Amino acid sequence: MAIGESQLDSDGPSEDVDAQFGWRYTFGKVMQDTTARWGLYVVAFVLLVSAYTLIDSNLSRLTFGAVSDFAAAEALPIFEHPERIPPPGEIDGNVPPAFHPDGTLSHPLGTDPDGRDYFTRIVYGAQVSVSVGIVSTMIGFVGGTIIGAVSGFYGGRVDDILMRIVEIIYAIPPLILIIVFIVFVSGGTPDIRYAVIGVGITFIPIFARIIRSEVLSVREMDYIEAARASGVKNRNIILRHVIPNSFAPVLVYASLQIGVTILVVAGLSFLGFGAQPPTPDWGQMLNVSHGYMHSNVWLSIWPGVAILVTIMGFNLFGDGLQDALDPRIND
Amino acid sequence: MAEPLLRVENLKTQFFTDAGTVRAVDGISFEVHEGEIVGLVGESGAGKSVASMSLLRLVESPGEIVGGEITYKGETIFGLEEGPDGDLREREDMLSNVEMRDRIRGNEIAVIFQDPMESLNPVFTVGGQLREFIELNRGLGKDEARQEAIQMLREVGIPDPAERYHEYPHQFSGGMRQRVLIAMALACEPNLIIADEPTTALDVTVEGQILELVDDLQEKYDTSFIWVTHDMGVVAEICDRVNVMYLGEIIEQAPVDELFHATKHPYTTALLNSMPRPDRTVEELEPIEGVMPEAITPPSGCRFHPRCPDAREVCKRVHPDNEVIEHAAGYPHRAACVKHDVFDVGYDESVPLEKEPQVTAGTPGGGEEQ
Amino acid sequence: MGLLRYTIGRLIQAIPVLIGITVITFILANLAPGDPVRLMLQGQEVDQELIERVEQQYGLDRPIHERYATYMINLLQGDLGYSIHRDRPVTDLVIQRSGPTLMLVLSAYAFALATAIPLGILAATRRNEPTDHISRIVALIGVSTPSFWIGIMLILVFAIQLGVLPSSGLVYPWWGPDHYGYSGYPELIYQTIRHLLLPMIALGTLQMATLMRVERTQMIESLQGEYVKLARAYGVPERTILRKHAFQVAQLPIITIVGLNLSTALGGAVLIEYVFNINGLGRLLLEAIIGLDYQLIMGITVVIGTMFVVGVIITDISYAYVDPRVTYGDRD
Repeated sequence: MAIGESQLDSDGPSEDVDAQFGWRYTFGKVMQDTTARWGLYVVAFVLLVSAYTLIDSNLSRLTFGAVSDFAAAEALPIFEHPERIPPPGEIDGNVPPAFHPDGTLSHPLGTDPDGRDYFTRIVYGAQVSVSVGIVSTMIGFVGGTIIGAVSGFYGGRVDDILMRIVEIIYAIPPLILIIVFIVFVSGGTPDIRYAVIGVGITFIPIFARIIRSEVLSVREMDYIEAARASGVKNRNIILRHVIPNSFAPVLVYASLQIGVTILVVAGLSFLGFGAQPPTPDWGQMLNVSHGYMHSNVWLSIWPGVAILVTIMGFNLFGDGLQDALDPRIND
Repeated sequence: MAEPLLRVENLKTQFFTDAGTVRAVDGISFEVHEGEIVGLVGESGAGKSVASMSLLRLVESPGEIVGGEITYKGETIFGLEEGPDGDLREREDMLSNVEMRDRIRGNEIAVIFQDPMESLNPVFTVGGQLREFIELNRGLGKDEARQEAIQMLREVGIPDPAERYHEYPHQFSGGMRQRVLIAMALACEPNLIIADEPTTALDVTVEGQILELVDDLQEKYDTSFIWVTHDMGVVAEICDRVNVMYLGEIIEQAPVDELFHATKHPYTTALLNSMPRPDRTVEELEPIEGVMPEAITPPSGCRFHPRCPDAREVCKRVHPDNEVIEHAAGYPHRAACVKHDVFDVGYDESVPLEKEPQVTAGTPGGGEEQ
Repeated sequence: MGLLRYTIGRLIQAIPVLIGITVITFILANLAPGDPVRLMLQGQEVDQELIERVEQQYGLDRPIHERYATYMINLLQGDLGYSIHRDRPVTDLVIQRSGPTLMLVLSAYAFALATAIPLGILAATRRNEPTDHISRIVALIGVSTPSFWIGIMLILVFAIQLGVLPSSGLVYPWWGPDHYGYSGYPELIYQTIRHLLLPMIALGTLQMATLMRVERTQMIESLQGEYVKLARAYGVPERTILRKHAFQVAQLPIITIVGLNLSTALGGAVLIEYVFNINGLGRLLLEAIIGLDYQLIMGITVVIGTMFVVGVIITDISYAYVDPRVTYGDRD
């Protein structure tokens, strides 16, 4: 068995694939494309911002730490670590942003109705949105890859049944399916974790379909036939040959899907099914600001801009990756 | 001799790509007289299709006609002149785009494309498409055009034309679709039809039927044809006169019998030798050595010299024009090869070129290693 | 003939999907931890007798497959269950709230198609020119912006700052002018449009952006088709080629995408109905969730899933109508 596999490895097209789809090659292609490059910059920026909030332990402990710290976190203004935490009532709610006549530079984007610095919360929102987007996409990606690979590789009845299920899940609009999932699974007390899992599961069918069609074409390749003939176990063929060779298009799709995921999670949080207060999530912040549309316009603007920029970054990057990996589709 | 129907002089069409300028058609000249079928032969990539689309001024971007003159029935389809500032500009009497569209394309010069599968629009009925072109190019009303379309479908040998008129292209076989395209070309009553490899996509028996059909119809309607093909067999069967193209140039031009029996250019000889014939076995076929170079960086001198069995040192230096070697059947026999005396550039004294080992495309027979 | 057979075939194919939707919904509803009745009546004084009565009413004391069978039998008779909080049959509620949602989704599509197709064609014919680049940027922003935020921004600008358009609710023309105290049908139509405008744009922008890009790609591809070359070679004017020869072929994928994106649009309707206070199915769902109104939640899910399936069938049939290859089964 060991001999058979090692031989197959050298026979398989992996070297050619490396030559054409190697990481360095892909990266070079992406960097050649202006829009993709900008996408990468935006994504890198958002990732850096969210990474910073992880490193700055003082801030993150206060915002996400033990429950007893929530009161402190809620009152925390940006970047000036206060000597004392003001008790409720003493804090100044709804300070307008800096460019407003009544604004101050210490709160560049103003404060929210509870007196928390809006800029800090937007920055923290990046961490929530990005991690939620990536984790959900990963769930969909991994689940979809397994189901799609099994379905495409075995074909026949297994394929029929799996694809029927996929088709049915597909038939319920994702947002509604996710909401219903969150509500029933959480028993009426929604939480960001349920949202992440719900979104991930809902996106499994999409990934499964893509990888299945890839597998169907890879399955017929000679080296897979050879592996079968030399008695390699199906599980090993799928893991070592089918999935790696069907990967590129799904990866591209995943990069585009992160943007969609962030969009959906923002929608969920906006409706109250995602991140719960006091976690600073952009969608949830828009939910709060919805009640202040007449008095404090800026509250509704910044989180939306943040979502827009982040998703645009991922979309640009995904588009560029698609162009780099798939020369057929060129603009 | 009467004024030719179409005269092409020194036509040049180039493609401006990122990699450089591709000289797809590089100074070709030929004529088409009334009622004759003129062949345009060559390997794929020789510039035959670009040349034929240039005649209708339908070269697609980044391609552009950059020089030469095309005259059809005395009207200028393309022509340049020197402007007051010394730059070349389009001549005053050149037909405008609107005139080309309304008067030339379809009603004077029609085309039959290579791929009958793709050339018909999948979402319209065959009859509808035929009728549209007839209405447009012959100024007939709807009903008349329909009658004409059905008549034309019958003419090209489609059974039950009145019923098949209402069917869609995917319901037709490849041969039947090609018949539809021929019907389209003829129905517009043009004087010249450009047939761009119309039988290449078809199998041999269907090809035979189509060639026969064209022969009959050509006689009946007395339409002239430019027949673009890579197949010498088709040329022998259908053409009156032939132009052989290599890398954007016409390298031999002769009436069909002369071309086959008094071949003047080594490339034509090679083409003929690579053609399967009933009197030769597969082993006797001689594929042309090497592959045609890219038109973006043509070889110096004679463009065929790297692959030419008769190449001598002089061929690397001298670029031969397509000169008249002799006259036959009232037409000149031209060839662009310096081995003929008219060139007088010292071919006979020149040393034969050492053949560099070349990669040959897979030969039937195989076992070329020596 | 071919089309009718195709339609019937498509409807038959949809049956297992529709059954599947009810199964999934039913499974989800039974995933809830703990006692559903207690969850449903949370916050209220719970006495054992009430719980038992509710359990019996819902059949919760029976095994799950029996309950599913009952649910399906009722469903086939058009009975989606009973809303305990609203004290009304779910079917009535769902029918009443479907109108606004359909009106919203259909108008959003009308908006998206009416803008996306001309803009996509324009971008295709002016490929790599400024128009094309602008359309690319617009499309990019369109797919990257949350619809509910577009809604919020539209309200901020047009309702709050400019005060020219209403920010909440819709006018339903089927209730007639008297219901709203309008002078007559012209005013009714005027008000309907005025109220619909902002939510329609908010929901339609994403669709518009997606469709515009697809339209562009398809037109570019179609314009490179051999049949376009043929039409040009026969002297067909460029306008006719664009509007007829290339356009018809390019529309085929658009039709498919309109159908598939219906699921995004129906999901988005929940958000837009929330932002604009529209009493559609989405808001009903959110209201039902607050009270954990099981049968109402299930009913809405099934109905929205059905709407999607029906929508896809309709688009498939229109596809078959436009593309003659489908009905003859030789399209891959």
